[in-house]
Amino acid sequence: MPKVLSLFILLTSLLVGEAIAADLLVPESYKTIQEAIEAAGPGDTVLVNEGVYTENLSIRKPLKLKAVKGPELTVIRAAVKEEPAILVSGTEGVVISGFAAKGSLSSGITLKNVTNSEVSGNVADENVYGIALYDSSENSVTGNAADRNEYYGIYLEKSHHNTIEGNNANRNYDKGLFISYSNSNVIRENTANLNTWNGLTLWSSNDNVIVDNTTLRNMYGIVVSDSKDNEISGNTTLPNVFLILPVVLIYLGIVTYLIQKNVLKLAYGVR
Amino acid sequence: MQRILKMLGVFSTASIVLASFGLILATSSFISGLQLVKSASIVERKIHRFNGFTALTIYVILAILAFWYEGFGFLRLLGWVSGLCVFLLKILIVRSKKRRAFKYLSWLGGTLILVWLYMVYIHIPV
Repeated sequence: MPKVLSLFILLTSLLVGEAIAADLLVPESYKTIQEAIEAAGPGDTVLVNEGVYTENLSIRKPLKLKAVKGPELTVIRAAVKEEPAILVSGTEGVVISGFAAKGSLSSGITLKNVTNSEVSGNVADENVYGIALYDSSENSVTGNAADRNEYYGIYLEKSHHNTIEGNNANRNYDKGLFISYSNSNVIRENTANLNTWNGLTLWSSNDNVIVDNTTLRNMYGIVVSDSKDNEISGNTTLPNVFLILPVVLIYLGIVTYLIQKNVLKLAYGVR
Repeated sequence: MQRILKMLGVFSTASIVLASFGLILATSSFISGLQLVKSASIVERKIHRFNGFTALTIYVILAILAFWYEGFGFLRLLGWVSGLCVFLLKILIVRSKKRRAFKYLSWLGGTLILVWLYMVYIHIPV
């Protein structure tokens, strides 16, 4: 009997849990995204339809913020330029997915003192920082594009045990990825090309795993400074094509010369 | 085989194809230029001129493409103009017919090869 009772209680709590989580639609039900965030309870999902939203979003509770049509059609442009376009602070279990966050003199997406959250499939470009994590742990930053930012594409400061995977941080005007005073993070399969300075920088950061990243045509590929016990392997900084192609082309140039010479000799009757 | 196919995949943009042609022609032109120092053969002169001017045309097209797609910028403009100056300086020295200046031509030819190597490097798609 107690087993049946406990099973009943478990099922009831699960059903109640399902019932509590609600979907809030923007702009159908709420004019602005921030209004929907304010109205949402923990565990709710705010679904944002296409449009350009000039707001500074602030999230301080566990919820999911998702763009229905993806970052091409759902743009958050910072209303107050000095603030991040999307700020998540002092909470856990937040999901930010499918947005374009632009036009901030701070950063596109900022996580401050946040744990167990997910930032995925976003585009954070044309800010000062693309995606920034401060004092945040055990978060997952995956499949984002943080390009053409004034300083860094993805920036970690005093943030530990995070997973940074499959992101693009290209053509930033300083560094692609900057890991600063952050330990035990996994930085995997990211692309940091064509940045003005370093592709990937580790600064006073220990025990990180830096594997299978690609950093091409930056001033410096991967820079490690004042850091120890990091695993750095399988990264591509100079692929074979950059060496083989010029050699092959010069060889073809010599062959071309010989062909041209013999053809013209025949044409002009020169021996 | 797969590796070769993967490497051929690098020719996915018009600009890398053009830059590659440029390096091939510049190499051929450079060799014929060195031969011209030894003897004034009409064959070498034809190869040198044709390849040289074709390479210059490709360079100008690449510059236009760069400005078209990437926009104007002071450093970009400076870089392309510097490369163009190497071309023009070489043509100027050749046309001047001053034997004293000719000894610098092989250096300029070498510089042009370096310019083309850089052209290939910056145009490999990443």
